[in-house]
Amino acid sequence: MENILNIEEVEYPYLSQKVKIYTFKNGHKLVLAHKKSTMINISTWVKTGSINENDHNNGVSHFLEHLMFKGTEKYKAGEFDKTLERKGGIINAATWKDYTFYYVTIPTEHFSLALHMHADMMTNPLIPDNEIGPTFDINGEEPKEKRERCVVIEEIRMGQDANWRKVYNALNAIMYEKHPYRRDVIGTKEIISTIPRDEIFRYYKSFYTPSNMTTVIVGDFDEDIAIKSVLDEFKFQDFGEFDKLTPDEQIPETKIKNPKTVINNAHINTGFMMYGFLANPPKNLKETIALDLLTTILGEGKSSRLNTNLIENVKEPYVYGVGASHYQLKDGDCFLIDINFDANKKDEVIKDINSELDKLQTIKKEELEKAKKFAKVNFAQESETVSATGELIGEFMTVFGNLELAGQYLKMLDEIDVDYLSQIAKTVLAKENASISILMPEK
Amino acid sequence: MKFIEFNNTNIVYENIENTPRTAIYLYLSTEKQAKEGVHTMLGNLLLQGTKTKTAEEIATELENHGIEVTVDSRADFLKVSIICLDEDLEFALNSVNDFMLNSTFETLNKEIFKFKNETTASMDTPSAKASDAYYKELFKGHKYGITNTKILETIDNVTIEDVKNYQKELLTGRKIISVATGIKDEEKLFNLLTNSLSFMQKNDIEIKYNPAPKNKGNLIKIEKNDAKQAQIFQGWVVDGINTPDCAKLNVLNSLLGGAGLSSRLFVELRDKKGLAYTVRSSYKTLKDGAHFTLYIGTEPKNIKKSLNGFKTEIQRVIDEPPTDIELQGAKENFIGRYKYFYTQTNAQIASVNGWNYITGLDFSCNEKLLDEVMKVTKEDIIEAVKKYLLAEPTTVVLAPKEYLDF
Repeated sequence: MENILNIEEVEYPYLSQKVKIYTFKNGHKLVLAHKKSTMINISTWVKTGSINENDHNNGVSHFLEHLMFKGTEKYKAGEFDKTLERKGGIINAATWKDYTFYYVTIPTEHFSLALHMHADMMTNPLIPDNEIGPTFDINGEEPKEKRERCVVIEEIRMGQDANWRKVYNALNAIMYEKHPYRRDVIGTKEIISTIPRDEIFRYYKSFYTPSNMTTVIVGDFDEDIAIKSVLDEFKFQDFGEFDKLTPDEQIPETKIKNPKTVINNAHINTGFMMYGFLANPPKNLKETIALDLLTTILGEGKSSRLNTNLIENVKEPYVYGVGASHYQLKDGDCFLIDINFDANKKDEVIKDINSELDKLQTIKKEELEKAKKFAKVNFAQESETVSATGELIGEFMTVFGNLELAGQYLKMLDEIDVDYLSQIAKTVLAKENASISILMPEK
Repeated sequence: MKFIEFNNTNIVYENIENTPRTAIYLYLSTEKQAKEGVHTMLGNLLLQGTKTKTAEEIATELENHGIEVTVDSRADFLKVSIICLDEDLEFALNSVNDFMLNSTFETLNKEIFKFKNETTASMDTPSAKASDAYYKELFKGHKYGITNTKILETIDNVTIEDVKNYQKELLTGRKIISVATGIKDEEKLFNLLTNSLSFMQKNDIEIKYNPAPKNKGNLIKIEKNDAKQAQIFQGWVVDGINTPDCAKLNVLNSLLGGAGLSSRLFVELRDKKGLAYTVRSSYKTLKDGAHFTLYIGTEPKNIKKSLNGFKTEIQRVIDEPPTDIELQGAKENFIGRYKYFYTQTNAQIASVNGWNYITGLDFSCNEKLLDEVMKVTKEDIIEAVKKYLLAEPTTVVLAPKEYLDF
């Protein structure tokens, strides 16, 4: 097919056939992964999220994600949801710092219809004013008509009632100096209530370009039909010359320059605390795997160090829940420790966590082996369904920037030894490198 | 799917080709009602130490092999789930056998202490607090109404003897091993399962039902003065699985608010009125009944509008019944969601098969339900609304005090 610029084949764990990556001449990528299932998963990943926002349009990526479902020339608002859900489809979308993705998981017999409607939505959204709803003053009178703008504001309110989200947002604001990752993906009520339709559409035109999109298909399908359908159905518009949005400066911050502690208050009975660390981008595969392993050793599962030492081996624990997590971001990984605790014991908790961080610089071989096994099992688990497989492939394509790294992950895992792990713990997870966000009960 | 009795043990087995992880779900139930909190404490204590191993040792040996073991105390049963790579199966089963037979329960006081604190901590989440109050009220007088905050009231009375006695009841109760795996050698697998888990030998226990009462609904208001959103739960106790109304209620749920982005509540209250990010209905079946619940999280000043919206949409099912296309869509949506949530992984499959047995259902009940769903008519839907949703509902509203005067 003359529209194909390049084809790559990649080994992918737990799939019986190699995954194929097609790059079309317009830059649009298509990833095809065969997996036996009664359902098929179609997703398109756009390389944009809050990373491409500024202080004036923060939240536009997520708002646009909502508005993409509001109709095209061919299908009016609600038709996409109604038609595919009435065929047993599960549809939704998500926006994160580095990406926005849209997916359909549907019984395989409806593949053609789902692909047709998904492609139409991605390339021809109307984003109509009557669905967005009028702009209004969030501190003034209610808008005359409450539409999607108000739905997103309700989603912001929902987040304001979520304690962990409050702690995480406050942490983000102090971890980064300048990088757009410091902003909350969902934005603010003030911006969402006032951002005009033209600005939203300008954002769409700037970032929803073919070269910024990767479509992933996982399931039982005929490869030739899938390629032809994607080429036929993704009819990208030519917007000609326009004033493209230029993102804020994105200089990676891979270590917190000025670690800080912030304390906020809420009407709660217990304390919430989060430690945050920054690290190198995930294309440094060995380091990112090491941080996955350190997550397991420190805070995943009942036998993790934090759970054992702060809860299980304590007669009357003042820590009620504790865990660690690590997530990959294009411009640098982020490592978090979260603790829910007796609010009278804040200082003791900080002392305990700092002590665990000090101890993390020494790792036993059996801990490393356990963490490696965990990583392998996690990979197997994420390959069990078409939707989980599609999501992992999308993340590797978008955040890691290279699907081959998925194939290399398990091989490189075996190369990591305790010395390397200790070195990463020492350089990345030293207590002096952490910013801390705490939410305490109102006095 | 195959159901067999092997070495005096009931096993339900499903072979799923090319899957690296085996899922085994053990279901145990008893008709004897334990004192409040005992069932929960047994579940919490089973991984906390045996005659020969500490909690830390148990957790370490399982996690060293990447084996996921969870113990879940539900009102109708105790469920032990084991998910592991096939190569670790024997090790996992031996470990489970040990803690199921040799747990000492010596750390009961600590577990009570932890339970109290964890429950207090969970009530810091507004939706969890409202949900706890809702189920306590909806199922008042029935075991389904024993929520964590209800258990808190009497948890200090639970003793090690209570836990041990209740464990004995469970081990002599109704049991099933449900397995979904890529392992094809059935004989070898069944021998391994029954030899390693000898406590799962069957007892011929007749299942009894204690239907949840359809109490008259009440309105409960909960003050949370810094809440940015009101949390509203509204619902009814309705008939459950294996009743003629089950298929009708499932289709009604898809139509009203369980289908995702296109059901009526979503379109009317979210898309057209902008009242909420989350609005939905759910129909949840349990052994002794079921509930049909509506939920919305909304700006506190929208409480009345949201409650009226619920009422309007319920009435509209009668006044503007679904068209043939809408009805067919609701049915297919139910079937698609069923496939997605219950048939995609070994864990989902093992869980569903085991649940069917322990709640006294036929293994073909899911297929039958899907057939019955396809036969539901618009008259059936209207009848279900009239029968259940026009009754006075149980409603819980959590919001700042100034918004609770409605």
